[in-house]
Amino acid sequence: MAEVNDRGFAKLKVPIGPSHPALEEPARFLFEVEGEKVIDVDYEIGYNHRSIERLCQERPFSKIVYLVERICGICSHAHPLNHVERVEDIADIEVPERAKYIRTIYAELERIHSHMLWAGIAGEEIGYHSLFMYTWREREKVMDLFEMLSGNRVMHGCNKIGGVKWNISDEQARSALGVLSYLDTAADKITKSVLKDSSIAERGKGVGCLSKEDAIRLGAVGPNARASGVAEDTRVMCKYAAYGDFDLEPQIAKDGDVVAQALVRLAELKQSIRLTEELIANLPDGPIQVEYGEIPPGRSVGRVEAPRGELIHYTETNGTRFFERIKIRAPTLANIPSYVPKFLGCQVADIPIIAASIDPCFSCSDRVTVIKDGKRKIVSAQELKTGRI
Amino acid sequence: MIASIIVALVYAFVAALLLQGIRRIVVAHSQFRKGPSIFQTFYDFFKLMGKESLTPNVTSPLLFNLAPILSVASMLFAALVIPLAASTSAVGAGDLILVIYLLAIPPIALILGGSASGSPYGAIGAAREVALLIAYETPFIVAMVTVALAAGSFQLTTISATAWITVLPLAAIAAIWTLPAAAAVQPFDIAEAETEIVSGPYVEYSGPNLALLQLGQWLKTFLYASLIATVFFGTTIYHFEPVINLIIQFAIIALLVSAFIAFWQATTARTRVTRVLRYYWTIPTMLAVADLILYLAGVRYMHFLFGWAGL
Repeated sequence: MAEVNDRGFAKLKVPIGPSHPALEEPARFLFEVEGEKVIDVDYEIGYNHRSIERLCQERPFSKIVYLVERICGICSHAHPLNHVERVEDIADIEVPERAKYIRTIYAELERIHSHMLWAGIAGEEIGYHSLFMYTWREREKVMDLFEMLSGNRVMHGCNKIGGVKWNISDEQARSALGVLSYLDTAADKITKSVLKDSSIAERGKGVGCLSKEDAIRLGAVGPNARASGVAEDTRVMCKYAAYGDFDLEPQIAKDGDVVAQALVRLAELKQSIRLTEELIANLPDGPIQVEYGEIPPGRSVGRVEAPRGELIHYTETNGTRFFERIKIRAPTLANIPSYVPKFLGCQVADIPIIAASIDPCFSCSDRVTVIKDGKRKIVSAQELKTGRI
Repeated sequence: MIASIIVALVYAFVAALLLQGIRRIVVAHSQFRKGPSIFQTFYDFFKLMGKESLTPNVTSPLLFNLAPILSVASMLFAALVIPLAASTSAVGAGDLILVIYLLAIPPIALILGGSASGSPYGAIGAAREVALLIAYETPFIVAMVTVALAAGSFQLTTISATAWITVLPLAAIAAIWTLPAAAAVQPFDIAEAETEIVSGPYVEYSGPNLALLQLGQWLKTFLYASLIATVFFGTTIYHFEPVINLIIQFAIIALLVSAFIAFWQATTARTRVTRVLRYYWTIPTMLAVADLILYLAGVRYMHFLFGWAGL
């Protein structure tokens, strides 16, 4: 069945995916293992291509905010936020201060629920179901808060070009502060359990290490890079929305292993809770949206810190009702290359937690791959536009 | 005779499945969940029995289909040998050795079935099961041998006349310590590890074959706990009506399972295969060996401490 190498170990090819309990979404990893040790890894994405960028060129303006919101079920605010900021940049629309603050509140709440979701999934991957149950129970409070603020738990529909749709009343702000103080104690409990629990330390310490040099060389972004000591946070660097009004420190850790990843995310969780409280306390008065006229031709590129890292949108308009081009680079695409140094030399038992450690969102970052007769084919932009492949 | 055999088999079957229901409920409640019905394992078992068994092409069909039957048959035999409160042992002298061997058969069936399944997940799971079996059997066997030496017999009916936890508590701790590994739940579900190797040896099994393979595992958990209960808590407490005896014994086993299997399962992450040997060959084995040496050296520390204990 399996070939045996010179050291007497059977070499096995272990496929993980496209459908596997450790992966929430389809992606394929092919591991070559020697006993329990991984000696080679290959990965393939392309199982979930939805052609969002192409659709963005075929729908009129007004529908694109809805469409980009549906790229990701977890970053359902970061994508439309980046999109409307690009259009506002092209058309020189001045967004009211209150709208900027409300956008930031949603963005931070999204980070809170996404990091709690990650902590739960990481627990599930190492077989710690109680951690999963606990963090997801607390995460439900954030989802309820979203429902109270926007009427929806996942697709908030908050952004529109020129402002936001949902205002925050004083009563809503008060109950949001109550939820946030509850979440603060929950975050402390989760942090304590991650730091103190010996079985988490056993499964996480020294597992899936990414050195600072590798993180920079492979272009890792977001918490994945910050866990390796790269102090880069788009919120601090770009100061979009209302982030310019607040002092933020990028949360970093040194080791780059799974525990460092968890600690960075939990520190950001605490940071986001504090920031949201400040945002709600300092919410300025005024309108939440402005009227806007024609969108002139132009182009804009910008970055937003999604919970998983730096999210890039490139938008080009041509003066009609349609976009000339929208290009989206989701953070997971930048983080996938950092899998290779993490996986090499790890144990089979560590594969799920390492796969989860970058908080992957394969569907968001999926690219089309054309395979004909077993060979990959590179397709030119012209061929893509005409649809003749 | 026939009647008591049937009673013992039916009791073992019902108790083993009920025990899983209790374990699942205890785990669920410690995770703020309601959990499934206590009879969920019965539903699952009978549902699977009514389905089709598939044999994949790449397997060696004989081993693959033999493994589940081997697993259940050995456990049903063990159910007759271990004195289950009401009935006495079906075999005479040396039945402790027989039971220890029989309790190793379901893991071996899992190893056979996993290797025969032709799946890389099954192969990795089988390799992990070997490591797990070697790891937890060592302290368990040392503890059992200590008790047998102290009792002067390998016959379970003789051994169970004394509650050995009062005489050899270190050996009892070592034996109880191996319960989670024998039950193959977290942190020792390394052979199944559904997020890593998609339930390992079970991956190619379906229908009645899967049901029997799981039944073997469930029976093993129950019988392993009941062997520990019989040896370390004795059978002198069972002097009531047979039915009440069975209920008392089941309550003791359910307590053992809730406290040492379900509690661990709810509070730990899955360990790594490399850690299992280090885990079981250090403290539990040391405890069991310490008790053995102390006993052989003639140190009766429980007697010394409390005065009331056995010898």
